Amino acid sequence: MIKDEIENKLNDDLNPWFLEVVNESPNHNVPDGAESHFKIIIVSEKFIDFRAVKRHQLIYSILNEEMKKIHAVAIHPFTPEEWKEKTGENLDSPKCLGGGND
Amino acid sequence: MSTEERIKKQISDNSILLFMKGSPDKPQCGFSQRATQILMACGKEFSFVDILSNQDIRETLPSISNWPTFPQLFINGELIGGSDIMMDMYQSGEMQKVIDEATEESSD
Repeated sequence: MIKDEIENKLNDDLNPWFLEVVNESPNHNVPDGAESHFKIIIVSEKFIDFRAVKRHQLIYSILNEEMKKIHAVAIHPFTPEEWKEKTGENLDSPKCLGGGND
Repeated sequence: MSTEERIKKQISDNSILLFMKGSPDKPQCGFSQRATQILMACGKEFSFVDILSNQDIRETLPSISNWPTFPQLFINGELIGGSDIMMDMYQSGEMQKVIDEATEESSD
């Protein structure tokens, strides 16, 4: 699945606080089960100091292989601070550091 | 002139330039349509290149701009982005500002 590839690569490279990859292909004139159109909502600290065009270019470069297979991707990148302003949702909570596994 | 030289000349000769699918009158893709609507709403003249009738530009531009999809908006020689960025900038009022500044500079 291209969706899984996209999620894995973005998780690996951008360490997102929040990531949602939506296959929007059914909204378009494509065969059932197609993976042609995607929407990506991603919140990452890596976007701090990057303006919009650079954030998109960063994601395009990470998804270089996938971009050859899909028709369109809508990208919505935010920093945690911007996400908080937009949604009121504060992602700034302490992450689990896996201490329970000790 | 090579395709790359042609593209660079187009970008430097036109202060507001949209590479799109189709034309502003007859856009051939919803994203290109949205981009032209935003530029028209800003009320200034802009130039466009139809990449569907210029396949060489369609193939070459993404490697020059480091941007794989269309539309692509350039203002004063710099890539602004695609339709998502244009919409965000339009809604925040930044697009109008950037366009007004670009047209003021070019009329000096």
